[in-house]
Amino acid sequence: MKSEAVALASVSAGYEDQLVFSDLTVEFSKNQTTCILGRSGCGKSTLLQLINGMVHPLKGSVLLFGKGLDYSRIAHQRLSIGYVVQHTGLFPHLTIQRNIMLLGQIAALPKLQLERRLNHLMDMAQLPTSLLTRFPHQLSGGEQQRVGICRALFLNPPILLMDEPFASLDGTTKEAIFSYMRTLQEAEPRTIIWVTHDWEEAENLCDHFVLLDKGKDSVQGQRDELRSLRVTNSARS
Amino acid sequence: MTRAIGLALILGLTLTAYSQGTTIRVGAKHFNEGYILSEMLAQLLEDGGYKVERKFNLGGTAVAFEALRAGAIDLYPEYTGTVALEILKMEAGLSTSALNKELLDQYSLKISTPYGFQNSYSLLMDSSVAASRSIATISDLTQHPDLRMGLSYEFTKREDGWGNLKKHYGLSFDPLSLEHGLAYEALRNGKIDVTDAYSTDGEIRKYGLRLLRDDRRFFPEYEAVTLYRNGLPEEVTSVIAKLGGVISETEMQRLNAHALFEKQSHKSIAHEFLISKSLIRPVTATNSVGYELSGKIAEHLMLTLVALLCSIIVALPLGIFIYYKPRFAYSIVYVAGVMQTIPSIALLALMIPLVGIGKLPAIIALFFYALLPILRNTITGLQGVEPSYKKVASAMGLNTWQRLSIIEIPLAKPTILAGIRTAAVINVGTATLAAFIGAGGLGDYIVTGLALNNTELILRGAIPSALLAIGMELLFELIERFVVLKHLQQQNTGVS
Repeated sequence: MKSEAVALASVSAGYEDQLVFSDLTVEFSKNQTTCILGRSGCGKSTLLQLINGMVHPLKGSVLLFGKGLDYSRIAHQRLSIGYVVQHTGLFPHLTIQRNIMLLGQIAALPKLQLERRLNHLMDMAQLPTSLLTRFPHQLSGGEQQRVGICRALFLNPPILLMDEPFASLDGTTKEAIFSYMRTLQEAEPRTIIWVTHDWEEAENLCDHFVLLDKGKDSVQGQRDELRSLRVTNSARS
Repeated sequence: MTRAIGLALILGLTLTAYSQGTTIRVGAKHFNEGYILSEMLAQLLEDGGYKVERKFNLGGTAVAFEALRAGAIDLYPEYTGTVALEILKMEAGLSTSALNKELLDQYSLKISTPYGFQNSYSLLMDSSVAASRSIATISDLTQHPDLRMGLSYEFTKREDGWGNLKKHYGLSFDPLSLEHGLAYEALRNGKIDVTDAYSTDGEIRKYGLRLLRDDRRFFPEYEAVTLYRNGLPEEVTSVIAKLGGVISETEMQRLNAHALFEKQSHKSIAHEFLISKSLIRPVTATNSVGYELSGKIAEHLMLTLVALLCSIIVALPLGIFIYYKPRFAYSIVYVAGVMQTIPSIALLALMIPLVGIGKLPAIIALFFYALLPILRNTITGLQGVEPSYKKVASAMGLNTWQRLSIIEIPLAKPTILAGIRTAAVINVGTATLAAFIGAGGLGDYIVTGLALNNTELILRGAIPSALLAIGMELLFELIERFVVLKHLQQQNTGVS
């Protein structure tokens, strides 16, 4: 068996009387993009939070590259897991530059390396350097989201979690960001776990998918299986 | 922050430097004559080459004596009758040497040669009212139970005061209690008919009032003397002794009247008197009012800022601690809240038995007052940080300390700053009361003004302290503009 980047082994999570998952086993292959699909309330976000240790499993275990999550040094472990959320979560009191470089500064990278990484990320995201001295509220939604991604990728984490990152963006902006994500994945391949409720978005970007359905077993498969599933799924509902 | 600590250090060092060398700390009881006599002692000592720290405004006998016993002052003018009855709790009429022996045995204190005049308690009436009813002695009052009597607070409480006087003469009045400084007003306006007074009060001559003769010899002798610590060097006591036998009762009445009606400062009255008796050499440069005022303002700011700084140093970490351990929140905020409800004057009075008088107890009291607003705003500020930022910070991999220092504290800053601002403004106001326990500052004018019923003096303290409070408010607005980003500034920062 080849080593999976992220694996949940027989995980139960939620509350004793109201489980979100029971005995869930999912694997995420290295450097592949996997979309998590499902209706709202089916535990898509909880799945991400299990992976970065924000939620502890009641049963089972979470493995990163074959090793169990170490909850005693979870803050340090999270440095290798990028995290992007819908409303960017950019810190309003920090400039764009400080937001992006935050993790690099915490990791005490040398100045030269910080600047090189900053410029590289800004370049790939096609963000003008004039934005660096601005504050988040002065940027457009699309710009903010790119900055959020740059921030999450600063330490070049092998895993990137994305929680409906583009839900609030309009079509054109979304299209531009998708192509940015593809370029990014070619330049720096990593394991991406992407929560969305948008099937089209998923078909557009993912290699694999996991379809969660509350109280039922999850369905997992390749991208090409997604279309046929969508047809039956929409016919059913 | 560093600048503020530096400022406090400089202020602290100045204070320490000031108290070094042979400094004699002269106390004063809280009334005209007390101030004048203390000024005389202070100027005699200064003329003798000593550095003098004036700790005036010590309230009544209890505070002044407690300050002397605790070593917060070295000497103050007192009266033999008060020493015998109030301090030693013995009968009046003891000789100076007998008093000295008892004082030395019980408290290691001494009294000097008497100054030459007596200031005994007596009862006083408007002369026209007294004449119309032909009242000349205290005994005569028994025939006029309809007269209204108003007595000073101190007189109603003393051994040689109202309680025993009433028994001694068989009087049947039900007196009002009022501030001594206001009793003359009340007497002249016909609000009361009889009051207690000191026989050297300046008003007696000025208003033509009648002192009622103590025909059954109730009031003990009140020779004015200096009460001082036994440990004082002999050179110092010999300087004090110069005042022995040089002031007569009429001279004292005249000096008191000067202070009262010509608004001459105690300093210059004492100065002129000592010069006229050739007891000191003339000093040309006396401090101007402006110079004195700026000194008081500096003192006032020092009290306020040192206390504020200490509160910040304690309340910020405590607030952060409570934020992380909310189960302590209730009890700690409760204790700080209770502190706030203690009336300022009561909290200051409570400090006297614990840490004596002066700046330290005042700073401690102000420290407690500033604690709650800073503590509460630190906690609410941190709790009020948008939860999604806290969550994102954790999810990114920031540990607790990094999350606190990089995200939570900066975002809570406007609220924390508003708490410090509230505390600063409260402290500027409360610091005026600190003068009651000898801490100085602008309250000195107010307290002295109240004692002398002198509006001009009250305003000299009240107006600058009001301006100071406004200035403090503006200063913090400026600070906020500099340290808080514009888009994070709150519309209404006054969380109180």
